[in-house]
Amino acid sequence: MNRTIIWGHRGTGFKGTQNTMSSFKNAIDMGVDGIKTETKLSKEGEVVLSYFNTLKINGEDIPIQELPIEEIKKFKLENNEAIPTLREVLEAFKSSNTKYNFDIANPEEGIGIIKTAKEYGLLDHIELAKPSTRPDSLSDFFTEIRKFDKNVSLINSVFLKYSGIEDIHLELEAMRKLNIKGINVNHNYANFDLFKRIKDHGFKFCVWGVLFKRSMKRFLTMKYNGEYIDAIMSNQPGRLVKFRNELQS
Amino acid sequence: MNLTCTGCGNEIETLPIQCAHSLTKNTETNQMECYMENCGVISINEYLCENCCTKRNIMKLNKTFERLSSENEEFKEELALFEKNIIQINTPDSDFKFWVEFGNGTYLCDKGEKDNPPIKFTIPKKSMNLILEGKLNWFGEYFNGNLKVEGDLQYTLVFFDIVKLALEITNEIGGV
Repeated sequence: MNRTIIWGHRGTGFKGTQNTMSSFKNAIDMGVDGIKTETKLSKEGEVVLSYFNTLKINGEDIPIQELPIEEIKKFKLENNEAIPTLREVLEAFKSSNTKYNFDIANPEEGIGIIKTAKEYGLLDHIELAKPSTRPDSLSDFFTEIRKFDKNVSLINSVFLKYSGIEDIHLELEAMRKLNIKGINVNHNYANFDLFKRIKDHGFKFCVWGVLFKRSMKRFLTMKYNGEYIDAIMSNQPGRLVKFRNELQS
Repeated sequence: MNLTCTGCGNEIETLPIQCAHSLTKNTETNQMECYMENCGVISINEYLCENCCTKRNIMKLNKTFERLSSENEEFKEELALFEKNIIQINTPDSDFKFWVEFGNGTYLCDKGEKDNPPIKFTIPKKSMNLILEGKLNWFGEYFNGNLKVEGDLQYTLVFFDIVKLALEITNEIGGV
């Protein structure tokens, strides 16, 4: 039987400064299976892990993609740490079997991640996801990435505007054509019926944004055909790991 | 008969149909009363227009969540997971403004404005009321442009998750 994969959002979520090496390390020490976060590219195409589109430097908001990596590394986050690069993270945690799920903004970011992960022999530890705030079709979003690499795992985060998720919103034909592995839905829309439908279509079912004890327990005990939900992302990953270990022995 | 709103002082020209259909005399107070959806049963002497009813209902719901945070262990425990956050909520269709402070185990709210709130919503009061009642999905309002958010979107998600949890618990315990 499977065990639900726990993603720590930007590391330890709401505990500590997000998207820092210390937050990633703490999340891994808590027992998460992986880190889910966002990426950006520097001016020369180096992948950095950051939610921010711009950095305030000398009072001016400058897009990260216009900054050389040297400048990005000088920027200090609120805990005085620097923004980590993907290389630093893969290097630091390569012995821990950590998985990574990246919300990407465009195909260039996805391709940059694939290239870097291949250098470390960690492509099978990587998932690339379409963010749930993006209305783009899967074809528009993923075709270029799939052409670049046949094997990388791709995840479809369903656009948040679709509250009653119908099959049409899942883009099943594009899912199959592009070999997209799983579907990620906000916890407010996740329920047993959707879980069953997605599994019957042959895809992984992932839930994001789970915060409270009662919803953690509800999703961690949800089972279909003897299988638990494939993955849950949380900003409270410590308690989610604890409940997972108690409830899915 | 001329009716004046006791909230804003405006004259009410037309009674809502649910009020007209439910008009009865309260024999204890000797006053006429009717049912106004957002205000519940209301005396004609303290009559509020629909606009003021919505505002009153928004504050009533928020005050219910505030009480819940002091009386319900589960809600308190969940609110303790977050550091203090303040959301200023302004309604563009009237001058109605209120704020919510959540985190460190509490949920507090009041009318008016806070200085430099880290998160600011602009939303029609009718939408806010329906979201707080659990009858409207905030994501839809956000992507339709009815809800405008200034500040960290992830704490907007948290706020609406807290509201949903508060409603769930309130319904389970049959009100606060």
